[in-house]
Amino acid sequence: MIQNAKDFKLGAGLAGFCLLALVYLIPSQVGSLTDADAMMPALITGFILVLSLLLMLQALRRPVAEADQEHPPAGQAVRRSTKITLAAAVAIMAAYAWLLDIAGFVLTSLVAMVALFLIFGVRRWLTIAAITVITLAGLYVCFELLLGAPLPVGTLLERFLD
Amino acid sequence: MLDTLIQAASQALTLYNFFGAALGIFLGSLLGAIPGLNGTMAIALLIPVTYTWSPLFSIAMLVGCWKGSVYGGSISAILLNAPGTPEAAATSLDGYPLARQGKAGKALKMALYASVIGAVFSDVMLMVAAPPIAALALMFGPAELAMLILFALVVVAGTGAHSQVKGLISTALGMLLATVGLDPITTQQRFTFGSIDLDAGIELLAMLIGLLVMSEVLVQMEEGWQEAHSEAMARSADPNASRVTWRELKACLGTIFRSSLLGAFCGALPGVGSITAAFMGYDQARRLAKNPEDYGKGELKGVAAPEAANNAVCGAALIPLVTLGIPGALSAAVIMGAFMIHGLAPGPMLMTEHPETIYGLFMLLILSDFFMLVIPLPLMKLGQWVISVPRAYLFPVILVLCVIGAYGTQQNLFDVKIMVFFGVLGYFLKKWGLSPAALLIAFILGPMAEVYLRQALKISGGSPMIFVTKPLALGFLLATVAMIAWTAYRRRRGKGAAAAH
Repeated sequence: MIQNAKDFKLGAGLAGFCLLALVYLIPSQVGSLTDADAMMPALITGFILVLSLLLMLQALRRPVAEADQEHPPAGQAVRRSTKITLAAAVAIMAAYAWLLDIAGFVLTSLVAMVALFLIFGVRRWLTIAAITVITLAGLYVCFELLLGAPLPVGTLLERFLD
Repeated sequence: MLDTLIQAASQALTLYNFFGAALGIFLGSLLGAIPGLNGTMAIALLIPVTYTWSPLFSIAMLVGCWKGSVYGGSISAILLNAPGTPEAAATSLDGYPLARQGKAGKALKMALYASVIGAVFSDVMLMVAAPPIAALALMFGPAELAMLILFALVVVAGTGAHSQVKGLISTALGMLLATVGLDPITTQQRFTFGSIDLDAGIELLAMLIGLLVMSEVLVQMEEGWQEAHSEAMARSADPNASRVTWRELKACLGTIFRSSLLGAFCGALPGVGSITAAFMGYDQARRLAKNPEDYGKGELKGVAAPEAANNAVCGAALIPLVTLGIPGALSAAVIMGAFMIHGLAPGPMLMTEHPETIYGLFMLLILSDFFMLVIPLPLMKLGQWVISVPRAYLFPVILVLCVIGAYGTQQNLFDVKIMVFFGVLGYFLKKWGLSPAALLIAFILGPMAEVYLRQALKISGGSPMIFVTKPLALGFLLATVAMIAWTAYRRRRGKGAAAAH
């Protein structure tokens, strides 16, 4: 009987990854396991594989440690809404990273900041506008003018300017 | 030597560098006071800004920021019982009761004085200990250095993970990630998946901003950040309630020096860190006190001890960094990134190749301790306002700073994607009980470990016996095995005691 399902799954996932790395990733991305280049990756992967199996073994015998327990033990509805907020924040950050190249620093950051404020529950539009403008203007001045590090303009604006 | 010191002084002791150190202390104290933000996050966000500045100015500012944040954490710990940084948790045990008695000013000032004394003590230790250790380290060959790094990695594996196995997995994952990019010896591509952006490996700064800052925001979001609500503090009519008298300071000096020594010791050992130092400092003060029953109820020494100890970690944590290239704490690992960005490779050669810069840095560190005596004073008054800024207003700004910070160093948009990836990965690592800190330090030490290991094997013709036949290498190897065994025994004993309890 598995005492700690979370650790067991983690160990199994890592062991699976290590096997994939040893059988496919290292040979295809580095070279034969006997090559000098592949020595370190193969050694480390083998070590992680052993540790993963040990983690699975421990998960079979030891119950969940206090430190591993989920915090906070809030109600299911709260946790679901938190998860949605968390997923939304990650999605915004991913979109932000991908759209910077297209829409540029100013537009993307503006949209991302407002969206982040909204998902964090801020509804005061004046505050949102003030913090957003001050932050973006400060970053623009700092990077573009003081440090001479150009911020991305975005292919859209570049095309428009051309 | 005297020439070097004069040259170092002429390079370091300029108004420009003084401003850097002072700015670091100001920013660190301000950011450290906000619960949820810590020194490491602040340093990680500041590094990209320093890219075009001089190494001395930048590193003095970043170390100043670290020291400032360690003290800043005590402001919210004392005023709100909400430690701004984890290392200030021990300070709140007696600091908050003092604030409730109307002695917040006294507690804050004692925390400041103890912090400054601890920091000066630690910086003097750094100045005294670093040169002989670096000279000794120059005698190490690849086999000794490989085993020394292995030992450091095993010690670091104990940082932040929920079990020894998970700590070792985190460390190994960090080392595996460090193999991405061109092979350091043969320049063969490894795990680049055909992307030229990965040829130079994973960008350290993007990775650390993601792992330490973005992931922390995600974790705090999930845990439902607790907004600090300032409670109206009692005000005392006693004029001495908001200042530390000479008599009180004198009474605390013994405790402060003992805690500074403990803190410096903890800082010099990789992986121990300032949280352990603060609690050890507090514990020794209580155990040696004539009135241990007063601790936890507003004892001034209970504020002085942890503050001296956690500040004494900062300078001492730079000893293994500067001399061996091994960071003594997570913040030191981030500062190591700054050293590397500014073309200074931490390790035994650093003091030989850049003696003026390093001695100049030492001078600036000691000077910044005196800035610390002055700069945070106005922040004590600002404290109540600063620490009550709602997280919902801070987090969007921090996330935008993460993106720009990741982009700023190399002006490469790929690094922003890397940062987001590691932000999400860091969140899951924390959820699974793995340690982003251990992963990050292993990522930094990984390439060195590989180069030394392969060089040693080349010298021995491929025989691993070189690690056993060289006495120092064998010593480090045995110490590594002993550390694993001792950690396993300690964890098992701890669990046994908890089960019995």
